[in-house]
Amino acid sequence: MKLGAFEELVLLAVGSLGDEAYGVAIKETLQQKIGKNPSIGALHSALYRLEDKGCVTSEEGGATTERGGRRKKFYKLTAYGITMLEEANQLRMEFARQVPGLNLSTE
Amino acid sequence: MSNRKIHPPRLADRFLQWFCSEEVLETLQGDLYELYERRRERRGKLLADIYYAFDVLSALRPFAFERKRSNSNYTTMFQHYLTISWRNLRVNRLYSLLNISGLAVGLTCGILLLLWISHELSYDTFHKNQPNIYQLMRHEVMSGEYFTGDVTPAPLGPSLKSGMPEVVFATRTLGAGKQLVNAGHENTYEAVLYADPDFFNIMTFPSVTGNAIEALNSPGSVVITERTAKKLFEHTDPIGKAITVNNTDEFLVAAVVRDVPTNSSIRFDIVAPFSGYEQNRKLKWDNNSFQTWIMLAPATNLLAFNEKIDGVVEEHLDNEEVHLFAFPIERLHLYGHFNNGKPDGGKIVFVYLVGALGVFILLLACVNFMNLATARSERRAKEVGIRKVIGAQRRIIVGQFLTEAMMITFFGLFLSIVAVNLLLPSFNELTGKDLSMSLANWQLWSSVLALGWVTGMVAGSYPAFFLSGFKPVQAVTGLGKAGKGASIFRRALVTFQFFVSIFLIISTIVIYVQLDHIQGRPLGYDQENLIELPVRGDMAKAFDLFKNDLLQVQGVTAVSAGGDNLIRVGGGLTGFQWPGKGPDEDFPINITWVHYDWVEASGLTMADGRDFSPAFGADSLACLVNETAARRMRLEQPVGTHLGDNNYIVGVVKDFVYNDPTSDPEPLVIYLGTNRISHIFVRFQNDQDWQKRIGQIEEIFGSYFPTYPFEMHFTKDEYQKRFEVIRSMRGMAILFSGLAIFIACLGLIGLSAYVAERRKKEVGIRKVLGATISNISIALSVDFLKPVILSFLLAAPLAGWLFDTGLDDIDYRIELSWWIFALAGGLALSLACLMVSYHAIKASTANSVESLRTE
Repeated sequence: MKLGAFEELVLLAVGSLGDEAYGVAIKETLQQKIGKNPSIGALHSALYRLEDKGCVTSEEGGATTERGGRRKKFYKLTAYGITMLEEANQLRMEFARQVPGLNLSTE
Repeated sequence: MSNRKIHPPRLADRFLQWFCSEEVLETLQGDLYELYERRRERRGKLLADIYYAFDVLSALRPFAFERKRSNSNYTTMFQHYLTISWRNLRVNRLYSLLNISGLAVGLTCGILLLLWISHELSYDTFHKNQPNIYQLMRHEVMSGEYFTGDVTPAPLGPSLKSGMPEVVFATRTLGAGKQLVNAGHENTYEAVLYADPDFFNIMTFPSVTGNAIEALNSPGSVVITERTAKKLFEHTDPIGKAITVNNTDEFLVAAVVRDVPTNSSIRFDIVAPFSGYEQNRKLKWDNNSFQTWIMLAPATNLLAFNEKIDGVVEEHLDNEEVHLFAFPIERLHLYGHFNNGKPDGGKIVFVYLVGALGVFILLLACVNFMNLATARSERRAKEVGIRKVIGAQRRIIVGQFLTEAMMITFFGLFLSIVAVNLLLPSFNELTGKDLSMSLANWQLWSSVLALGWVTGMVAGSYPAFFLSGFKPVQAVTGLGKAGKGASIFRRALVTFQFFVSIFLIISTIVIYVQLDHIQGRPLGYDQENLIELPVRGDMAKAFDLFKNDLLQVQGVTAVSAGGDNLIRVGGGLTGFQWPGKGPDEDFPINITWVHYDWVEASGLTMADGRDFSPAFGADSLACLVNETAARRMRLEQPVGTHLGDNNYIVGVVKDFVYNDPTSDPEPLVIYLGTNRISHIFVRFQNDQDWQKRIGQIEEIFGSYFPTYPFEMHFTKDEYQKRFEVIRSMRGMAILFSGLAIFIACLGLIGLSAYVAERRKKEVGIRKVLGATISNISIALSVDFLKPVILSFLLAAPLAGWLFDTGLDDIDYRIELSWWIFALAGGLALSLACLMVSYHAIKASTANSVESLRTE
């Protein structure tokens, strides 16, 4: 199974947020890191898809007084999700290496 | 942050709660509320509200509702049924193919016939006032016999409207047929209908532009249909434009109405005011040439009204018995046929016949399904047994098999809808209709679905109850045998299939032979080398000169003219006087008017006397009769006999076929009427130059009548056109009996394949013991041929009796001979042999080692 481009970004955001990965936080991370501002519907849709694929697991947080008392749903990267990210990254790097004159150093 | 209420736009929030599943709603709404609060603080309420609405819309995706999926036992069970059905379909390709194609063919017939029937039933239903519209009809009593017709005198309509309070509107109509219409540059022939203004009050032919009712109020204007408008004026506005009818009457177009629907009994291209037609004619009570339509006030008692108008026409006539009555338009198309004063059906008979045909063909397809399903029941027996052991009730297993039947039926239905759409153009050509499966016609689609559903239920019910009745222990151990009852039932079903097929084949052959018989009937005149030119407008005036010029053309042997075209002759008239006529004796006699040399040009033969000829001075008082007329008047020496007040007979024409080609000739009296001609007859020599000759005639025609398009018919072709209805019936009979036998054959293939497989071991042992291939294949086949023979023994006498009775209504009929039945039976039997023998031979040539080694 392949990851879509947007799904890959969402997965990265979930991973980078650690224990704090829930809808609004992911949305803001995406906005800050790469300047993408996905609609909340698109984001949730992607999250459910990732869950179906087994890349993330979810857990509901406790009730809060914020957000009109609604619970947050926290997402966590699974081992499979990490493998998928690595695969996607590797694929891209291999491809990129074939482009002459492309600077691939990470630092 | 305090625990205070958040107030996003209420409508958007409600919408979100409505479409979201509960599972998703909690966190999604939480995220949305959080975003909303932040935006409200940062950017103000208005923008936050707008963003909120957008976000709600952005959540309109599958993930939000998809998870609503129910997990009830029923849906799981149903899914399981579908899975099992699908697997069964795929495993038994041959049977699935036979089943689906059989049902598809059956349903295709069913849908086509349904379309045909619904079109027949929809006649005249588009009139908004339909329940209150009536046509006035008359029973005329002659020598104690009733003759019913729809022709009425012109003064009737107005007198009813003014004299009877129940009559809201009344119109007279006269269908004048195709008339020459000229609109500046274009000359065409259009069907002209003369009518009173009330015509458009009574009937629903909606105007596109202009007021149709107003238009008929002034004698100088006409109403045309959209199609005619396009034809005459292309894209310019037709209102106010002038058209000329028959080069004599000029009209201004005052309104355009929508085209007449195909399911209308009344047809026209142009409606002209009746007042204009009436102007120069004295139309009295004895001139029955018009139709009269009335609209009665709602809730009028028809019986009482009919009693009231019974004598309205009669009181204006002497010595004639005429009963007038109003006949509802809703019954006109289907029931408007009378025999001796009593309604005797009409088209409704065909509707019933066609409906029965459709039902029978569908039943054949259902029977296939039943046969194949029960024949193969052993294969499903273990499955049923296990299910029962696990705890399935019979009801549930019935449900499963019904689901399977439905699935197969709907595959078939889908294929048949595709097939119907492919076949419709040819079917329309065959039936002369304009049927279509428009998506907007929801009644049609729901009846198609209902048809599929009923078919599935009928096909599936027997197998479902049969299969679900297995006893678990027997089914699982395989000790129980599929009962003898089932195999007898299967034979009965095969017998039924072939009964229907053989019956249909016999009908097809009878129709075919009868049509051939009528078409080959000796006509009494020579139809070859005879052409006919219709006389339009004022063409009759120049006839004598035109005739002389035509006779100059090399190869033209005779030219004459007449009021009728030889194929349809005359209208019935009563009250003739002849010497020796009894006081109560009367019968309708057809009369027609012709020009000099009519007998010669038509190719008729004189039995006695002579043709009309200018050589005899006083021929204007002469008349001819046909043999039937002379015989029925009991004239011993017809020539010279006086007929009526002034006329005397100068010749007797040998009987010839006219009007109904299937009936005995009716009495006919022919007068000389040089100014009443509407058809010119030209007879050629019998050789190859006719094309050149027609060119010359056209040239002469053009020099005499430059404004009229040249029209010409071969009388033979015109005559053949009369058989179009029968020909289309024949086409339908061939088509549907072919399909019926096709379905029956599919069933036989399936059954024989099944039996061949079941008796594999038996065949193996027989072969080992020394049976030959032909021994075995015959043994396997004979089983199937018995039902076919039995069905022939049932179908042949029934069909014979039915057709013998049916043909009695036709004067010129065939006798049913043995070969018709032999052919039908032989055809069915040889087809059955062919179908069965394939699997029989295959089974008997199979290697016995392979069929016997496993045990």
